[in-house]
Amino acid sequence: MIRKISASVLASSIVLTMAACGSNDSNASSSASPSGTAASTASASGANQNESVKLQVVGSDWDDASMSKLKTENPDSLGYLTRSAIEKDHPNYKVDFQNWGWAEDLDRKQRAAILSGSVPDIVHGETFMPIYASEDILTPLPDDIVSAVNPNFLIQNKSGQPVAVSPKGNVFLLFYNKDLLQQSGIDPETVQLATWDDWKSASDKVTASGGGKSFGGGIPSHPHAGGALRLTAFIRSVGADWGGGDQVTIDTPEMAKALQFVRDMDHNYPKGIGNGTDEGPLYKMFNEDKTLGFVVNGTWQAGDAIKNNLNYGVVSLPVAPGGVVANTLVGFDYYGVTNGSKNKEQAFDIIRTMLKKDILGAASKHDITPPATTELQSDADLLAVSPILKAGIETITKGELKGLPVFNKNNAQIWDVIDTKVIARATMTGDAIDKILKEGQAEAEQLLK
Amino acid sequence: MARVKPAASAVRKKEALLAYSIIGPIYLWFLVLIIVPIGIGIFISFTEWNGLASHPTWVGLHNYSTFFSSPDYLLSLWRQIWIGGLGFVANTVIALVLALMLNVPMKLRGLFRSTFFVPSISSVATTTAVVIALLNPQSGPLNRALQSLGMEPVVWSYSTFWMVFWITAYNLWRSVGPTAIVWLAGLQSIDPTLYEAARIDGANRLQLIRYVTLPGLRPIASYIVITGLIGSMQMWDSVMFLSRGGPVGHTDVLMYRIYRDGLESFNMGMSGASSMVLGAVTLLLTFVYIQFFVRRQENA
Repeated sequence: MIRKISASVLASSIVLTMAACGSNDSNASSSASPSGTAASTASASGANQNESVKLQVVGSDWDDASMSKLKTENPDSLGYLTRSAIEKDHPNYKVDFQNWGWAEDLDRKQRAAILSGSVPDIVHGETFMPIYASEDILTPLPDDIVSAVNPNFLIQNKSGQPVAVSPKGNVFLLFYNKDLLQQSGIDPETVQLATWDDWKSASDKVTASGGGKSFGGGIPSHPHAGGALRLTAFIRSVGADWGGGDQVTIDTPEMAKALQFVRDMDHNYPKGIGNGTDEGPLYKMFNEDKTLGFVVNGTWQAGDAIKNNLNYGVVSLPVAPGGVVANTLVGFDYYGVTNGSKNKEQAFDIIRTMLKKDILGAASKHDITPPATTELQSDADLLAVSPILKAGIETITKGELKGLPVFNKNNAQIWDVIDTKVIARATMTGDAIDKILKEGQAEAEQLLK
Repeated sequence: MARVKPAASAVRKKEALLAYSIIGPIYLWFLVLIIVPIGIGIFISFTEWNGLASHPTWVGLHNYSTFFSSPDYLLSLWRQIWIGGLGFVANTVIALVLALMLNVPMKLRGLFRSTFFVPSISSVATTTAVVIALLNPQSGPLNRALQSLGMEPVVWSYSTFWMVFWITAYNLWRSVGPTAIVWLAGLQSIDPTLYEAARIDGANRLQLIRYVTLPGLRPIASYIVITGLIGSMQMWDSVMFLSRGGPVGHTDVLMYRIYRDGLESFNMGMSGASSMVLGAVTLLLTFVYIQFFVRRQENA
């Protein structure tokens, strides 16, 4: 009884203090506790086709305000297309389409809703969705969804069952400015960028010939996710990683080797550009000023390249000496159906709609972003849209890829340590790499206890 | 008498009811928005809870033990005190000087007063963007100015000194106007005849400030110091926007850790314990100020 009262008081207070948002629909679920119900593979469009069903779904670009804006500005947006299709194909679904922002703001609002017992039928997000999965808040995905998508676009719960899917997602590629390479005496059409050494040699040449006005560029080490995501794609090439779960693996010989390379490459940035809190100046140098030879970015770089009339080339990330092809998943917006949902099958129908070939294909083309479904990943028309999209799809379908690891406790704090006291420190200071790794490891371990 | 008594009692009851109906909502507001959250905060500080589990797990003093055994938490508390304190002292003193200047009769005085107030009513996003653009190491106006003078550009984000300087300057820029207005209100509440009397006694300008202005500002100074102290112990947004605790965590203040513990890592217990410690330190500093400065002056 006391537990129930304390839980209710806590839930109310958290809702009051954290959530300044969200309408609570009449389909409010009574409990956030895991139901343990496995979803069936059958679509809800069968038995009770005309029965009115109420749903509350949280997602991007499908709330009323976004819909009216996107209708004229970007009718190929995934959220716009999905909602339009749901309203057309399932008129009996009375869906409250919500948009609760992104990142911490979204996480806070969703947790508040889950705690209050007014659980949305669908929740979404990026970095915190693996935590929802491990807390058994999400219902396992039906087999038809799982089998339709590339496994890199799924996240699993503790039992290994896929519980959320990202319709689109990205990896990092190496973009280069052909004009700057040419000016440095490098033939941009035949330039070798397969290994770290190849890349460093080319970048050093661009910096040397730039006379302090243009630079080769290196691996960003910004003290936030913008640095960590890109850098992790490189460290994995030498077999290093940060750990995850109950383990931290900062202080390893592989990590030392990787960080030394990051430090060496940082000399190809003007001081403070590769590791500043604001990453804008770095991409401005590449896109607008055209004074940076190389940039590590996702396929969204295509938009900037076109907008700025950039004469660019693109390749997969270089590989470490004796290392392996590696990358990091980025820009994944996972959608999952909550255990608290009373209309799980109908909620899965919304996810199925997002993954439909015509809808996801149009959104992928527009955003130049690799789609989740294997059918679209091998679609000749889509692959012909842009060399960047083709390179992205080829990279993302090459074996198993991972996002940034998630730690079981103090996840954000441990990432703070990695971002500021390991990654940024390696390029902002002259401290010995071994010392940086040792101290970072000790501090992160303390936070995991 | 016996017939009057019930009537008097009824009046008293009516008056009491009226009084409670006036103060009742305030008490309710106080209870719901202050007492209950503090109580919940204290309770959470003894638990482990990620905001997803249906109820917190009681861990006793574990979070407090982590706080006091971890150099990082203690260091961030120390940074909160000294970086926040630096901003507080700078704000209080500069606002006073500004108020003294704005109190002098001159043309366009109203415009000057408004100008100093503008940064505090501008959105944080806008003012932060301005400072971040200024500090751009490659194309920022500050470094361009330095280079045009033949000097080396400064990579501001590499230096603890400069990041503390800019955090303090940013806070000062945003808060000096409102503080100056409060000082100004204090200055204008001083009886002008005191100045006239002092002048007749031969006091010069500095003596007027020393013997009339400063003693006259004591009541308002207590308000400014106490609210300033509390504000300095809550300072974190400028750290998050400008330095993210860098370089290498050297500007990571406790309030920023509390935010990250609570609303990024969802380690509610640790966030609650740190909040309680910070609250206790703030109370202690306020108590010391009241005990040793305000009361002593009152007794004198």
